[in-house]
Amino acid sequence: MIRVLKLSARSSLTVGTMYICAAIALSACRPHGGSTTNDEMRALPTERQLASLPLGEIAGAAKLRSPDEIPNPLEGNAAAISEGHQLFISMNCAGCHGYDAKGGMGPNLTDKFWRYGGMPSSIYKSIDEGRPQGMPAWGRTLPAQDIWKIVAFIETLGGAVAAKQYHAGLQGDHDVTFVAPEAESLLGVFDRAGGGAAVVGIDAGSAPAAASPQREP
Amino acid sequence: MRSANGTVAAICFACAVANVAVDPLAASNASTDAMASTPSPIPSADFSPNDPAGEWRMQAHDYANTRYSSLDQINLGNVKRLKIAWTFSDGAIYGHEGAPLVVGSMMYVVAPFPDVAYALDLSKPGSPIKWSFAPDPSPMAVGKACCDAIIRGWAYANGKLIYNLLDDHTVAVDTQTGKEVWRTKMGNVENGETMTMAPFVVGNKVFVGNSGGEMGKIGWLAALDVDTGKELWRAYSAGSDDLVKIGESFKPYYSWLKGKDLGVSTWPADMWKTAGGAAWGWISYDPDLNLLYYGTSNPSPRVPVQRPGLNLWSSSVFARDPDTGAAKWAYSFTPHDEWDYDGVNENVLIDLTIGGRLRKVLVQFNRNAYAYTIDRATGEVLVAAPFAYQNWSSGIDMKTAMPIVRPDKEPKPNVKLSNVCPPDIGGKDFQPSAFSPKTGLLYAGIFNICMDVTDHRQSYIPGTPYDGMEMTRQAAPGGHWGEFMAWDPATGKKVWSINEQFMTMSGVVATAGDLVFYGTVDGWFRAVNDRTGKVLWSQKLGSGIVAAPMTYLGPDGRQYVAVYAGVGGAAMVSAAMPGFPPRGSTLYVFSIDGDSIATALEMPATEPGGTSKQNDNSQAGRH
Amino acid sequence: MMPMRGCRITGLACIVALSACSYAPMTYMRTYGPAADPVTSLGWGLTIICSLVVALIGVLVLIATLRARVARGLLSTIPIAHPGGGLRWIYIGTGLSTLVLFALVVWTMFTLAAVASAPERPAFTIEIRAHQWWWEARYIDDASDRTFLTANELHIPIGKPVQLRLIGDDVIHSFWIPALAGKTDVIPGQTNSAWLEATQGGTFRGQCTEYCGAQHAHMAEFVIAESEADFDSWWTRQLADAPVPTSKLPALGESIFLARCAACHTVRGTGAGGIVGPDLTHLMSRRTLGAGTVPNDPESLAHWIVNAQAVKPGCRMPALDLSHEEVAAVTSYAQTLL
Repeated sequence: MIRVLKLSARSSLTVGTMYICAAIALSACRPHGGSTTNDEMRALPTERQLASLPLGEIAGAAKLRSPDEIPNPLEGNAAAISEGHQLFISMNCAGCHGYDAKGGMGPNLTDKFWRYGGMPSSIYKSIDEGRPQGMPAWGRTLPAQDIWKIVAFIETLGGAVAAKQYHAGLQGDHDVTFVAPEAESLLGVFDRAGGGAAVVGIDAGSAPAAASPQREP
Repeated sequence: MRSANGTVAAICFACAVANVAVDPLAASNASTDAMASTPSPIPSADFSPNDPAGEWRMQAHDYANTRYSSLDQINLGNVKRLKIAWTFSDGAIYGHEGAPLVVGSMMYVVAPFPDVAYALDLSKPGSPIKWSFAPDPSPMAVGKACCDAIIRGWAYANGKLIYNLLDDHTVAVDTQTGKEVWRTKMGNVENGETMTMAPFVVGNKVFVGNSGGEMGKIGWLAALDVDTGKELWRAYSAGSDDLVKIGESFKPYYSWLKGKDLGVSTWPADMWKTAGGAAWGWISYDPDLNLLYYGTSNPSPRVPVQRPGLNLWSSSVFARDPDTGAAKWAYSFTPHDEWDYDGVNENVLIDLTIGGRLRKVLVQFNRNAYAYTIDRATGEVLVAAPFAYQNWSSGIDMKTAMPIVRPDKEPKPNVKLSNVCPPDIGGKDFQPSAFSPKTGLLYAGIFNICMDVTDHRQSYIPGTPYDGMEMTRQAAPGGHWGEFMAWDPATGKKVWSINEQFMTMSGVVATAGDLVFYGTVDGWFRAVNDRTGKVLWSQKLGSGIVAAPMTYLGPDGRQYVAVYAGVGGAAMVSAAMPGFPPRGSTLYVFSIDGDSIATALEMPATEPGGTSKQNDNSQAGRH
Repeated sequence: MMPMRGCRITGLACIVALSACSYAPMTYMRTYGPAADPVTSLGWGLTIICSLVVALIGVLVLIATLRARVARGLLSTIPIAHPGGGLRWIYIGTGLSTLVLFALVVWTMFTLAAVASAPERPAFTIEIRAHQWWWEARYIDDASDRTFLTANELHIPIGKPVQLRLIGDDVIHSFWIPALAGKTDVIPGQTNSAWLEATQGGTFRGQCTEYCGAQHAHMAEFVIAESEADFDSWWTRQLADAPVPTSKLPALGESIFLARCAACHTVRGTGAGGIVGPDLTHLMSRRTLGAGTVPNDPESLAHWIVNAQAVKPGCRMPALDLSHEEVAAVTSYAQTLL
C-alpha cells in the first residue's frame, strides 16, 4: 500500500510538473493580434500633414508645388481592405452609399467624380471631417487606423485617384488618351522658353515632359 | 332578378355601342344609365370642402383625397387635340412629386430642394412669376433624405402657402407678397430626420409629419396653427399611450390592437425610441365623423430579427380627432413588417355598398400589395385583396385581419433571399390614386416588381441609416415594371389594366370628362378612357413623371391639365434600365390645341414698318 | 511487473478522483444539471465497468499464466489433448461481453435522449450569437418588451430548463459549459439548439471549444444559477435604462462615450446603439471584462478602455487615443452602468 501511495504521489507530481511546464511554455506564445502592428501605426499620416492638403487648387501662380504626397499606409493590405469592408457595413456607410458603394442617399464611390477630391488623403479627410450635404464627421468616433482601412477598401472600387495625382485629380484627368502639348505644363503659355512673363519660383521638376497620359508636371 | 338586370344592362350596352358610332359623348351617358339601373348604387364620395370647380386648392383636391375634377371641357371627344400650352422650369434637379395648386388666377408650385416657392400669374400670357421665395434650407438635409431630396406637395390656407422644408422646418408664405409669415422648427436634421410630405389643412389647423423610417427616427404627426405656426399637438407612432395619444376614445376593431402601451410592449427593451412609423404620406379627412386618416411608415431598423414583436404602431393607419390628436382607432396592415411595407399610402374616403349595406370606408392600396377597404368609422377590414403580384403572404385571415406570412419569405441576416414580391417599394408606393364617382372605380399606377434581399444587422448611430436591407430589384412575372389599373373597391377586383415597361410612379387625376391621366417613369403622359382603359392620347415629356397631375380652369375659361416631369425619388431604383431618363424640372401645362391666354396676342412687329398678326407665341410676354 | 501495473492504474484513478474534488472550474467530472448529468453518469459508469473488465481480464490472465507455470513443471508428459473447458469459457466470455455492451448501448441511447431536449417546456429562450471573441446573449420572453441584450454572463433560475439558440456571427465557435451541458458548435448561417438547467446555485464557467482565432483562449462565458426570486430581479434590472449621470465626471465621461464609443456599443437610455461590440448598459453587473480575460475591477476597466489591444491583442476594440482625464471620466461613467 505504501508503495502504491508513493507511486501515486510521484505520478501526481509528474503530472503536475508536466502541466506547469506546459503552461509556462505556452504562456510565452503571445498571440499576434490584429492586422496592423505598432510599426504600421507609426507610419500613419499625421494630423499636420493632412491639414496641409487643400480642397481646391493652390491659389495664384504657385503652380509648382503640389502638396506633399500623402499615401494610404494600408493601401493594398488585404487584411485592412477586408476590415475596411466590414467597417463600411457596420458603420452604416453602406446604408447611404449602397452595399455596392454605387450610391443612394450618398454619392457613388465607384465612379471617377469626386466633389471633395479622390486621392486617399482626400477621401480620408472627407470621412474624418464630414461634408456639408449630410456626410457625418467620423474622426472622433473612429481611430485613424480604421478610417485608413475604409479608404483602402474604397480604393479597390475603381474610382479613386492615386496619391500623387493632386493636379490630375483636380483637373479631371482620368481615361486620357493623349495630352496636347499646351496642356502638358500647368501655366501654359507662361511656361514657354523665352517668354517675357516672370514666373515665380520655377521648380526644376516641372519642365514639360514628353506626352504621356496622366503624367504629373 | 340578376338575369333581368343583365338583360337591361345588355340592352343599354347595345344602345351605347350604337351611339358611340354617332357621338362619343353619348357612350359615357349610355353607360351611366345602364349602371344606374342596377340595384346597388356605385360608390360615391364627399367632395368637401367643395372648393370652386375650376380651382385646385389642395394636393388631393378634397378632404376625401378623390383627386377628381368635375371639369369636362377636356373629354373623350377632344382629348386627342391636347397640346402643350406653356411650360415652367424651376431649375431644381431632384425628383418632382407634387402637384401645382391653383387658387383664383394664381398657381403655386414649390421646387424640390432647395424648396424655392413660385407664384405664377395665370392671368398673364406665359404665366410669369409674380414672386418667388427662397427659404435657404440646410444642405445637410440632402444627405439625410432616404429617397431623394424631394418635396411631395404644399398646401394653401388663409392666404398662405404652407409647406415643409427638407430640413424639418415648416414655413408659411404670404401668397400676396411672397414674404415669410412664420417658420416652425419641427425636428433636428442632424439626427437624420427630414420632412418631405405635403401638409394638410382642415379649418385653422395644418397637419404635418416627419420622414425618417430608414434613419431610426420615431414617427409623428403634428398639428400647427395655420396663422401663427404654433404646434398644437403631436402624436407619435410608438411609445406609451400618452405619446401615441391613445386614451379613452381609442376603440380599435381587433383584439390584438387593444391593450396598454402597445407602442412599448411590442418592441424589445427601449427600441420603441427608434421605431420608425414616420408619417410621410397623405392625409384625408371626414368632416362628418370629424376624423383624420393617415398612415405610418415601416418599423426601424429594416432588419426584423433585431426587433421581435408586433412593432406597433408602424405600418399602420390611424384615425384621429383633428382637434386633440386623440386616436379613435388604428389598424396595422403588416405587423412586424419584414420587407419595408409602409402604411403611408393615401386613404381615399368613399361610401359604397358591401353585402347590401352602405358603408363609409377608406380604401388604401398598401405597399404590401393588398388593397384594403376598411370601415372608416370602426376600423373593420371589409375587403383585403391583392392588386399586384405578391408572394410574401398566403392571404389575410379575415377574422383577425392579420396577414398569414410565408416563412420562406422572411429575411434572415446574411442570407440572400431571392424573389420576394413585392419589393420594399411595394405593389404601390405613395403615388396617389384617384376616384371617379361616375364609374365608381379607383385608378392607380402600381408596380410589378420583385426583389432579392439580404439583411445585415445594423447599429443605431444617430444621423446614419438604421436600415440594413441590401436589395436588387427586377420585374415580376410578365417582365413589365409598371401597370396602370382601374380597381373596384367593393369587390376587390381589377377592372382593366395597362402594362408599362417602366414604372408607373405618377399620381392620377380623374375628370368628369371620363378621362384619367397618368405618367410613366420614362416620360410618357397619357389620357385614358376611364371606363374601357383605352389610351386616347400620349405625350412624351422631357423627363420621367413621378408627380401627381391636376387640372384647373384658367382665367380665360379654358381647362388645363398640368403635371411636373422631373424623375427622381424612389423611381431611381430602376435607373439602370436602358432608356431611363435624366433629371428634369419642368412643369408641363396642356390645353386643347395648346391654346392659352397667349394665343390671341398681337405680336410685336418683326419687319420694319409693319405689324403682323400671327399665331406665333414665341415672342409672347417679351418685354 | 504485476504490482507496478496495478499501482499505476490505482494511481490514475486517484488523480482522476482527486481532480473531481479539487477546484477545477472546467471539470466535466461532476455536473449539476439534467442536460449533463446523464452523460456524466454514463461516463462514470463506463469507466467503472471498463475498469472492472480490465481487472477481471487481468485476473483471468493471471490465473491462466499461473496454471501454465504449474503445467510446465510436468515436462515429461507431453500433453496431447488439453483438458477441455476452453470453448465454454469463450462462450461465456463472448456472451457476457455482448450482454454488457448491449446494455451500454441501451444506456447510451437513453442518455442521448435525455440530453437531446429539455424535459419540460423551457421557461424562456436565450439567443446566443458568438463573435470573435465574445458571446452576445439575447434574453427572449413571450412579452416583446422584456427582450434585452447582454454579453458573456448568463443568469438562469435554479431548477428550470432554459432553451438556447446558438448562431455564429463570423466563424465557427463552440459553446460549452462543462458543469451544465455538452459542447454544441455555433456555426454562421445555421441556428443550433441546446438547453441548460442547473440543479443547484453557483457560478459555472464555460469556454469556446472550437478554435476561432487569435483570442480563442480568452472567450469564456459564465452561467450563474440563482434562485427564482434573484433571477427575476436580475432580469428586471437588466431591462432598465442606464441612469443619467448626476455628477460632473461621469457626465463628462458620458459625452466622451457618446462621441467615441457609441458607434460600436449600446447603452440603452442614451443614443448609443452600436452592435459591433457588447451591450454595456449593465456592464458593472458582470464579473469579468473581455469575456473572462480580466476581472471587472476599476483598474482593469481603465486599462481596457485605454488600450484593449494590450489586454487582449487582436480583439476588435481599437486602442483609443484618450488623455488621462478622458480615461478617468469614461471609467467613472462606465462604473455607473450598474
